[in-house]
Amino acid sequence: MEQLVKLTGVKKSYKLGQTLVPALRGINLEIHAGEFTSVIGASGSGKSTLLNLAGCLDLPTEGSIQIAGQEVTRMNESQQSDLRNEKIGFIFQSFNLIPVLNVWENVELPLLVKAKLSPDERKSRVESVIKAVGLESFQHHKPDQLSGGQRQRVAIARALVTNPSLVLADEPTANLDSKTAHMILDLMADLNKKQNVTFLFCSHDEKLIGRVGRIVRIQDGVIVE
Amino acid sequence: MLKNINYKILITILVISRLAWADALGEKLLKASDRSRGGVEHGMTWDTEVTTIENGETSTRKFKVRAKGANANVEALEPARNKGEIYLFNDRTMWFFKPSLRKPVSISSRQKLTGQAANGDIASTHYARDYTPTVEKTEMIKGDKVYVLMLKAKANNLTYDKIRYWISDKTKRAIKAEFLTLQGEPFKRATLEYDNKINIDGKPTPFVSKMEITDAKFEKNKSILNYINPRMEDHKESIFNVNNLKR
Amino acid sequence: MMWRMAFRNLFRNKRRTMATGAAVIAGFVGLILLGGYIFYVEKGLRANAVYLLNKGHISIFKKEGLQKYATKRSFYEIKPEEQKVILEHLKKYENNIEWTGHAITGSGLISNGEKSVPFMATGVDLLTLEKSLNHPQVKKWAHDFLTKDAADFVQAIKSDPLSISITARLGELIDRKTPFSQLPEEKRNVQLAGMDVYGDLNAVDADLSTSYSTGSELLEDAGMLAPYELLQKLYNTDGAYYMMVYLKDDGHLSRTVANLNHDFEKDNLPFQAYPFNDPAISPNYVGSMGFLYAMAGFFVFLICGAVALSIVNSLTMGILERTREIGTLRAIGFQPQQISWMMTQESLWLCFLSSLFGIVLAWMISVVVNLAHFTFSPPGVAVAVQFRLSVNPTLAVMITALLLALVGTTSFIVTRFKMKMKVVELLSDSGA
Repeated sequence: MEQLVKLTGVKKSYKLGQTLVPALRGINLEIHAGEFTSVIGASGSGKSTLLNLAGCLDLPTEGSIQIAGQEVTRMNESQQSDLRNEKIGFIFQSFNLIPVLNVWENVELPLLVKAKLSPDERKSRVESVIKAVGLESFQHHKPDQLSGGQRQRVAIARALVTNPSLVLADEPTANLDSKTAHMILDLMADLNKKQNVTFLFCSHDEKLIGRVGRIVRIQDGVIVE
Repeated sequence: MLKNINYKILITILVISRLAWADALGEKLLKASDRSRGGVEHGMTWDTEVTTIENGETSTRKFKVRAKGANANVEALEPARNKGEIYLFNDRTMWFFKPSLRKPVSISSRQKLTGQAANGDIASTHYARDYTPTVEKTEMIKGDKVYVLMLKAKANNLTYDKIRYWISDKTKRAIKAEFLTLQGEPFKRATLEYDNKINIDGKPTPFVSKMEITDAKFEKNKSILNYINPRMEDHKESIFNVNNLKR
Repeated sequence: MMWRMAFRNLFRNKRRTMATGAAVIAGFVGLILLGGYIFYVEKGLRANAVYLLNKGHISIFKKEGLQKYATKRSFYEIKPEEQKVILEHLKKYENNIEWTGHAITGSGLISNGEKSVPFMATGVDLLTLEKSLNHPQVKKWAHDFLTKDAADFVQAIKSDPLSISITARLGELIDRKTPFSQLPEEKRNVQLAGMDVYGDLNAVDADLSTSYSTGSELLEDAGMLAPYELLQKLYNTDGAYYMMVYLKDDGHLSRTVANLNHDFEKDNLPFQAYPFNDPAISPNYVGSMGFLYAMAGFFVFLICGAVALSIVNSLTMGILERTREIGTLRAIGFQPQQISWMMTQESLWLCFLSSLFGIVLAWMISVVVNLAHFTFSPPGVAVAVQFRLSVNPTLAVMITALLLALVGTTSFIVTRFKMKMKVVELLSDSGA
């Protein structure tokens, strides 16, 4: 299987006043195409930091990160933005939808970063992902007219619209009731299975473990399993 | 104590007397000097030729002056384009008239006539009437004692505001003048000569023959007034009446 | 879609948008009315200088004549044969010349038979007087500068070549009240005296016919407009002090003047052309406009400063409120400058909409002010002119462009400054 993400000896520390607080203490991790991986750990274990680094949202204090074969630590801000746009999709715990845009527009947003696609192609892509998440009849609704589950579906559609190699989800179900959380997870698993979308998500919810293909357990900034 | 007060009073009286004497002397000198410049009660006539040298160019004008007391009638004779023009002096008022005009024009004696000469310079001189003299000092010029007078205008429509005037003690005639600005700076200087003679009350009296007025800053710019053929001649009052100048 | 998103963002915090919009509208209205006022005054002073003060768009003097004519008139006047040479040279520009004229100026005394007071006269040919007093530019912009009977002057000269027009204040100084045409003939008759080209005193008869205004506070006590031939007679000359060129279009005035001077120099001719807006030709125009431009510059600075501060404040608040949203946009691949541009677009929208509203408001204010008919005397101007405000479309477009540029630049700088935060920090913002 194609290697998508490779973290080698990754350390990350944050400055808290005068003290340096280690969040990750030397992580080695590989994510391959088509995997449905969950990073599990207690709150403060370093799972979100790991996801931020894997998603090129932050840079490590030490170590190497390769995404789709490219060394992230050597990239400038602009190249990192391009990499995120082309290779990675993001799903956030709070959905992070743009409130003034409707479903269609929110989904279309990542395609507007680069004017590479024709309007027709954009339309067909947006249509297809909205259909994939089952929101065809809500495409003109604004986020505040949708339920939590529907909003997260929009976020998933937005993450998928660029055909990314990897979709990162940081606690995607944390703000949802358990029924909706399962539905969302089912949707992600379905997309993984049917469309071979690679998912890496983190959660502290042990109940979800049974539904994922691979589990990476993290504790005090170190992968323990 | 009493002696001391009397002494002070005496000094004061002496100073006041000295000043009064100086003013009286100034007026006396001024009156005498005016007589040699046309300021007489009798009727007089003379011609004035004004040669002006300005910025290297020379031009000449000629006037006939008929004076009597405070009045003067100055008629332009040359050049031909100005012939017939009349400057009329009634006391301190001055009028200009030419035959083509319906009415005479009231003009200022300060206004430039030609070159360095002002309108007021051309007629008879009545400095004793128009100015308050103060004896500034005495000087010796060519062996003669000369009084230096400071003349201050009694009115603001006179030809000059201030004049420094040199009058010979021996002849009682003005030999030099400096025309001053209000700030006391000379802007014109004049010298006078008296080679003409007229008979006043049967006595031959020297009369001004030449007055040379020079620009104080540009000394090459000057006007020379030659007084020709002065003679005692009575004139009808009508020639000095402005109402007779109308067309 | 970015423009659409920017537009919709305006409605997220309506109160703040309205407050910022109100600041922009106030700034816009201030600028447009200030500009409209200056535009109106400039047009009025220009028409006054060119037509009513008989400077023409271009005044042609003998070289150095502008400075030395008064001291050596005979040398620095333009003789009739020299006038022909000038006219010959002007043929090259005849497509843009409406007409040419000649003028003579001089000082002297005006006498009512009892007393004399000084005058400063301009003698202008009849064609120029006729065309100037009835010129559309004068009627449109400078009618405040015209006295009630000003236009009758041409007819008066036609019936009496000795007719002169003087300011009402000069009339008062010689005990003559306006309207002069209703005075008995004896009272209308005056004499003008002055130094002729030979340096001799000369005088001519004249008849008071109409009154006029010099437009300048400095000259109003002595202003006189006379037929060209009458002043020539007074100063014993057949020459002119200067010639005027009236252009159909003064859009390229400086270039035309430069070309004309080049022509004179090339042909070794002792003439010098000046545009009407040269300080030596129209000190009143230049002085008044200089004052107004300085004042306007100060107000523009204040207004733009206030608008810029409002935008900075509004954007800063907007960015603070939308930090996580900005982080999301950064996460999905938007470059910092793209986000800056998007936020700038919001400000541009606001500015554009405020400008539209501002135009309407400014127009309404101008209508009210113009109907109220306030009068005042601009600095250095002798006559009372109506305080008029005009909403000029070109000016409105220019001010809109200025504000858009100001708002755009301010927004871009502010947002770029705020975009320096790391993506992960933006995303973790609590939204407080």
